[in-house]
Amino acid sequence: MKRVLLVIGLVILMSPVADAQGLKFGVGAFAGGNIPLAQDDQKAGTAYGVLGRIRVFSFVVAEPNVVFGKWGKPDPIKGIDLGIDGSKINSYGVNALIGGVPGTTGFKPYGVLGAAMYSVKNDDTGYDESKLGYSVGLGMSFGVIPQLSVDLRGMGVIAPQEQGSKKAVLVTGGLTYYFTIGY
Amino acid sequence: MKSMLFKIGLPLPVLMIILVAGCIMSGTFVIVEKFTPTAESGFYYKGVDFTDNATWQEHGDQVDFIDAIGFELYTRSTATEDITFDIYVDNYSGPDASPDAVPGTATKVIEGVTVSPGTKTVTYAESLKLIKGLDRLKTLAKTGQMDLYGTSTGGVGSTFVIDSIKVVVTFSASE
Repeated sequence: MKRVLLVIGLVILMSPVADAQGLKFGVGAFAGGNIPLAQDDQKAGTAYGVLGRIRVFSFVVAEPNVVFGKWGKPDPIKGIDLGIDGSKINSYGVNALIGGVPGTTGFKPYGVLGAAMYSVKNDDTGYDESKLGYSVGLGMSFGVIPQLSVDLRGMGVIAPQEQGSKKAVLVTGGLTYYFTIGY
Repeated sequence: MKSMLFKIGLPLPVLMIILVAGCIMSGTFVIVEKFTPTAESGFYYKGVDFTDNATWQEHGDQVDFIDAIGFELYTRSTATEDITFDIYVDNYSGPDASPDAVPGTATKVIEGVTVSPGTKTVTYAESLKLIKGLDRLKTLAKTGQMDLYGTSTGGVGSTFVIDSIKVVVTFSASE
């Protein structure tokens, strides 16, 4: 994971966008729903996080991010109230936004491909697994002013486990503020 | 630029479809099976077999791992003093087994639970905190079958009865 982040950092520093237009970057926060897929022992929960956003090439934006998620308490199963909380699913990683020019006004749709270290943990059952996973999704960014955008996004997440994987859909909304350094 | 975006953006919906399809092929399931152990002078036994469970029959041969296993236990004591009991698990001996002692190969999974006179329910959430020997328990659960033994001290015969035990197994499976 550290190597991936290092490579991304080098790409950003060497990118033509950084040379020609100064380094434009954003910081933001987001929150929304976290829907587990095909998991009888979890219900829909929440997710929130913070992100950075930096333009790497004219059509690719790198987005390092940290996400704190929690699924909901399961419903009773065959008359048994399991009485346990949903699992936490936290992650840190990098997304690549394809399209969606940051720091501009107007409506911009974009695609998202992401890689992150996912940790799935349940304090009640003792379940605890961390592995590199990935995500894919679509988003819409609306630049209110060049310095501020509102984002809505849907992401499918696959968090590999010991074998198999846990999957979820994140539907989030957030705000990102943009800065420009240099030139 | 637009052509480049199109080329890169086009595979995204395809990837999302693959993701959704993958979800249909795998998941996490919970099964609950109720058993009533036989009781004789402080010794309890039940061969637990949930391979007939509909969910297990559908996914049991593709189990990736056991996420969690616990019990819900209903006991009744007419003894005048507190009863203490332990639970052990071992390999399944078959439907006709009738053991009269805990074998040496069994693993203790619940130890020293104390029951006062009256009825008591050990909930699933409580059992998760009591369980030890989880590795063996999960290994056995992955087969869908296990022998369950109990021993009690302080009460014999009908003074302490395990009315029923519900085994709750959460497992992940993929095709």
